Amino acid sequence: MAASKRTLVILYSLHSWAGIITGLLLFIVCFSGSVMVFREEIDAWANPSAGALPRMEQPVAPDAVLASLARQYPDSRSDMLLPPDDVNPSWSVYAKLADGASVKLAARADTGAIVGPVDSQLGQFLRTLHVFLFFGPRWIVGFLGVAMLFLIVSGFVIHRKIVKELFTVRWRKSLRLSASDLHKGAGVWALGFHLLIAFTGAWLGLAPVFERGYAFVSGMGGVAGSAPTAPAPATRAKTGSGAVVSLPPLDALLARALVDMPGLTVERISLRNPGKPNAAVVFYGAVQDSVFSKSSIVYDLASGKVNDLQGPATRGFWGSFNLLLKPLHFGDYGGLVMKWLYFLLGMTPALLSLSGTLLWIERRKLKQAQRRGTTVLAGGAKAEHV
Amino acid sequence: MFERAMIGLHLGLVAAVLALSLAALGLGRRFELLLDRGGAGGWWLIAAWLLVAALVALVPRRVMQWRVGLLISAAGLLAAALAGVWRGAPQAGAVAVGLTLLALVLMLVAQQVRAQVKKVPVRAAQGRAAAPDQVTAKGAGIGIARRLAWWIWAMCMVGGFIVANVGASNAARGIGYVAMLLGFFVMLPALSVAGWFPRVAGLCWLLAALALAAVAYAAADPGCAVGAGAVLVCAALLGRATPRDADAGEVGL
Repeated sequence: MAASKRTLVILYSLHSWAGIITGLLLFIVCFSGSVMVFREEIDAWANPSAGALPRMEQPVAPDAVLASLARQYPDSRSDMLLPPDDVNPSWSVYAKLADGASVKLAARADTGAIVGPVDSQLGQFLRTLHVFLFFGPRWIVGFLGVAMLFLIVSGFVIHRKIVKELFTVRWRKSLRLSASDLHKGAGVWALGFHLLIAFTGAWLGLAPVFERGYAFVSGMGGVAGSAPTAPAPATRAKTGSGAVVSLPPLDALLARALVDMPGLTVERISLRNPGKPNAAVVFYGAVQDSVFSKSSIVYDLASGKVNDLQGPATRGFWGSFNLLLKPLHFGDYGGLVMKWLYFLLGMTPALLSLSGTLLWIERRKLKQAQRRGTTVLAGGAKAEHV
Repeated sequence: MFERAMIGLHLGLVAAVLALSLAALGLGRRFELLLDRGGAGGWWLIAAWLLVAALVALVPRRVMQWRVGLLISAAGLLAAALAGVWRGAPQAGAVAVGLTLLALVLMLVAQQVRAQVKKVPVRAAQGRAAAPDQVTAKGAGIGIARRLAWWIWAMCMVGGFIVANVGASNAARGIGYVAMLLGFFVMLPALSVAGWFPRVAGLCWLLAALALAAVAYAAADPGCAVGAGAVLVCAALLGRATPRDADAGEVGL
């Protein structure tokens, strides 16, 4: 059913204003997101000293790395370990040093010896730009995802010659026409990808806000001013005794994780609340034959039992859905080819932001010239500026 | 000027990110990027971005602006490719090939950017210039009401943000999140279409006011109650407005 002219006019107006207000921010988020697809590669590239480290078929076990950390950085505390992978030849250790400084250290894959702080965290830096815009909370990007969804849907509805627009780019004409053709063409060609990125981005950014909001609303019937919040995952592991739990050998726990979740390739080991009663260890990674989604297994150190297992066989619909979104958004499930595809397609919404902004400016110039009753030149007010 | 600034800001970001990447590669540990590790990478990126954006914006002709912006980015890509090889960075070869390809694409686009002067007929110029003089007192009132509603909306969002993220207790944060969700998903869309659908907008704002009042009552929060009252006033003002015609010429359809 075709939309009425009035609907088109309203949608066009809303599309224009939403685009001009969010355009630059969307450009930043989409551009940095596209580049961030290569986060691991960029992190490796920005660390020339890591190039000299040996690459091992069978890297040393995590306990050796933690032992080196305790030896070389006394009183330090690690909260995350990343095993070597195809891109990074060394162990990465996120640690808080005795002086309170947080560092990312590199450890040799053959001996586990700590080499020292990494040269740079350029990939992580780009991630903070994409996810937090450096300074803000994550939900700002979530709201931008919703705005992007609206722009995509409204843009699609107001386009009336979709098939024609797929194959029209007038390079040899003016900047305005090129921008207009690119805007429409890129929007239609990459429509599915744009919808996917906008939806997953909005979900990832806003899910915590909805959770908190829901927790507050569902607890509104209670005592005024004492609204409950969603329980943090770690608090579920709290013991009744309140005793301090020491970290057991990670090697044994890792071997157990591989039994509890067959086919798991560990990509990250998180040490939650080390030394506290609610201490837990999380093994996170990909499971064989489960291409898209990642899996995780959490061990409560106080009881030694599995606290939470999110694997292909155990999670329900929502568990699968949640674990599906991150890989779908960041494109880290199909190797380098998929990353390049995400990079190139990811640049198209950035291009849409840019071309859309230019179109809005051109339209505004044209309207102003019409109001003045003067003749206007395509692409600008003065011929030499066209 | 706005156009120049926007072209500069869009094209400048790519060059600024590349400049920072070069600095990170060249300076290594001496240049901490992450803010939570005591670095100032974010501020450096913003400074570099504004600098490049200003440079591009100052270029006199629009086509030249594009070419300068694209060529600066292409030069940055090539410099990053060479720097990686020179420093012996891991995967330097593959990265250099990728960056060089992207630089070539940008150079090709810069070469293709051109403009053609073409006269287009002016549509319906007459009669529009008089429009501002025909603004009635009622129309002005509606304009003020809408402007007030935008301010109230902005204050709700900022207030929600402050409660949710800055200094509030964990228990009170939920109020901020609820206010932000109401603001973004109920009040903002309603306000956006208020010109064409004033009754719907008024109704949505009324619902938002009731929801905020319920939250204020449950949490015994006076700030939220004031917000609910302001939203209620705006709901009444928005709902009484006359619907505006959808002018196809206005948006070029």
